[in-house]
Amino acid sequence: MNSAFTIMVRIVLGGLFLISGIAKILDPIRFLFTLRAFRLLPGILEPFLALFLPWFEVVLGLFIMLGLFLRTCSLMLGCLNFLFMMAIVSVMLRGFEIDCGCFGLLADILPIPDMADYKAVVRNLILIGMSAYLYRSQGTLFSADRLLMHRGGGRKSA
Amino acid sequence: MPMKKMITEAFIILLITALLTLAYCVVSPLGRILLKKGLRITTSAATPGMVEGRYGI
Repeated sequence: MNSAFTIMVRIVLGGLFLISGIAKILDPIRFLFTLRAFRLLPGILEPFLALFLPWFEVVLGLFIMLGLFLRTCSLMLGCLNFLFMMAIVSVMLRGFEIDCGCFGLLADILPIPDMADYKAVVRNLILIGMSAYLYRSQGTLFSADRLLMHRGGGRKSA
Repeated sequence: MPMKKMITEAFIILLITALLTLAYCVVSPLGRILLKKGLRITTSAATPGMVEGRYGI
């Protein structure tokens, strides 16, 4: 039961980041404008981050779904979500009304709330909670980590 | 989990991401545009209208 729940969390969290990363990759310039609207980073960094961040989300999402480097990926994803949340809080405190850019193109296609407001903060808190849950889980069924562990002679990594 | 193993895994993840980003910049015209012209886009262009109209690039 516990393992099934962990697999479900893996699929939901990984799938969410995989899809939102792909949506941003399909329109990186839109994501660049979103980053600029936050006015948090030096201008020279923004284009590179607009290229790097969506791929980072895709890789982390894919690895979490596959269960590869699960604890490291969940820790990195938790930190990434914390940074996103801090950026949104800073925007709210400064009184800007902008898109959070969380779902890229998907926000146009599907009726997803995509504003940088308290809802986005709550969403990020839930995602941080899911990441923390995965970080604490001791390996799950159908994970690449478990496969690698068996191949390596059953040595316990944790 | 040993810290060293975690750092190695994080490094592998970042390396894979960097390689994918680099490949995207080489293969995709949008990636190339972003690299070449991204630095020249002004902050004032960050409006919904500009986004709809293909960013004025």
